[in-house]
Amino acid sequence: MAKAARILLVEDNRMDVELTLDAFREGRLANIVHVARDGQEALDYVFGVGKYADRGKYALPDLILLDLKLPRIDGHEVLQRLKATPVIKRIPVIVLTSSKEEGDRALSYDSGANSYLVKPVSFDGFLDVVRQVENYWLVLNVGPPDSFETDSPGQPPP
Amino acid sequence: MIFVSLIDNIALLLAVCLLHGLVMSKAGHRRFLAQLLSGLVFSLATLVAMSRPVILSPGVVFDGRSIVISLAGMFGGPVATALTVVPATIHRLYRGGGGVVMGVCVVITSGLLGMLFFHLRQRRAYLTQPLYVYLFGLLVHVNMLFWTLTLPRDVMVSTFKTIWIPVIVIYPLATLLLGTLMANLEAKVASEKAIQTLNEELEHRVSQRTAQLEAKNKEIEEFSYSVSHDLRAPLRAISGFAQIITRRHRQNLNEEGRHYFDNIVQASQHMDRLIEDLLRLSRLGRAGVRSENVSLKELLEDIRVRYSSRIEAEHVVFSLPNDLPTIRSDATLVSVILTNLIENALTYRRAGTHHCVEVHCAKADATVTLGVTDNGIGIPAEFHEKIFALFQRLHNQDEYPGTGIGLALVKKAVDLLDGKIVVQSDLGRGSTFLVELPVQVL
Repeated sequence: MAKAARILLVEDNRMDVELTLDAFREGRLANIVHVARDGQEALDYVFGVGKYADRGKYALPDLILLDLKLPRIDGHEVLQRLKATPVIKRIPVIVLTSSKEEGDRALSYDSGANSYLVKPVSFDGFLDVVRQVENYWLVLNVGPPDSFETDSPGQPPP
Repeated sequence: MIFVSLIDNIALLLAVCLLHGLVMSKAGHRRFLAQLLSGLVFSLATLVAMSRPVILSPGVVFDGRSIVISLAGMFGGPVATALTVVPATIHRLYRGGGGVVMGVCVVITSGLLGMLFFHLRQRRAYLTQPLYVYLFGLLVHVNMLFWTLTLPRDVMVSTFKTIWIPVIVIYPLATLLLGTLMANLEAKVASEKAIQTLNEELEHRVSQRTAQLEAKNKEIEEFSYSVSHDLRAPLRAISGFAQIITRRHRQNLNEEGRHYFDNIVQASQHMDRLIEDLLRLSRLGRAGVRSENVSLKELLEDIRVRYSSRIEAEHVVFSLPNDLPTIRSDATLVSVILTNLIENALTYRRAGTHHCVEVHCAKADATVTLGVTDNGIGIPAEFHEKIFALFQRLHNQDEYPGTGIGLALVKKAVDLLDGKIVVQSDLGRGSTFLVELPVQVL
């Protein structure tokens, strides 16, 4: 990988943030993780609103890790807005939540989540999840083109 | 002779009266429509009665109109009365003759007397009793005889002499007959309406209650969901940071510190299992009970595979019956029952014995009885009921790990399937759990 991957972690719980960052540090990859503490901040970051207007400093993330239970705007709504926006919707979004509820799972995939992961309680489990996310989504998986202006070659035939 | 003719005339009215009953029973709950329709029926009855009169002399005719019109007034109400009186008046005027004044006056006063009784009986329900209906008939027809005074002088006396006995004898009786019939119909319609109202009220209350219960259920579900998830976040922090310390800073801790941190990690893992089981309990049956083909053979083989490492490591003799049927039931619920019973049977073993767990199955016409037997520690008789309660445990974590939710889950699943569960157990000999499910055996 030529450059460090940029990850947007959307998580309101400070301790979960620390655990996730710690787990990323234990991983082998050099990642730049930006943390958004609620749904509004996540949307501001991705859409370059307010203090995130400077794309040079706050580049679009390569991967979004999204909690569902968030203050102000919840994860489901964030997901729906991201996936309803052209180009932005190409960014892989991984739901990372405590909920195993069928309703949450159905709604997330309906809204276009690329993956759905349940946070394990044990740190070992957590490490494992983060390691596998890095390995699959940032190493194996070939993401959308760097230039987000690239057009897709029209609609595929129905 | 005049008696026979009058009775013939009245018999016609009976038929029309039944038509009125039909109208009342179909439209009795809509007041205006009922009045309109019964007005039309009464009006038809009057015209029928007037078309087959007893002719005493040219222009002097007698028929059952006074009966119908007065009853239309008494039972039909204002609209029905008007609808009856107007055509009858026109009909009588059109026929003309010496009796026209008497005829029209009888039509109008009969209607008015009927209306008077209609109003009186709104407050005095007893006026529809046979005696009062008869008196009403008598009044109407005394009134009718009074109007013979308007007949031309040459026929007045002879007419009165001819008609007064039949009018006083037959007409009030006919009024009584038809009036009682209508009163009965009216009472029937009223009681049907009352029953309908009661039913609607009951239905309304049931649906209201159901909605309340559904709201309560939803509230409980939301509560357990949110408690379970909100409890998890701090738990993850406790266990996560404790694990980071035990791993990265182990060398900085003395033995006591290491022991305590291990305790924290263990306790938080136990709490995680508790939350998981509670969530499972609250989720169980939430999506309703399905009816699907459940192969007990496949289901039990799956469970055996899931616990195979434990069965081998602990040298347990685990046996499944050969002829396991396929049943119509809910696979998830049956799986919850068998998994938890088997896990318990594997867990509560006696030290120093060769542990055996045996699953058995008995089929009957409409039931299947599944049993799980072990030769473990057994359950004291006084706890045979209590063990199915939530969080009821008989041992501490160090003796036998568990959350105290397993048998509560089993009980809930059995209840959802309308089944029965019993335990047979002797302390120190082992336990048998028997689950009887009312299912179709395929």
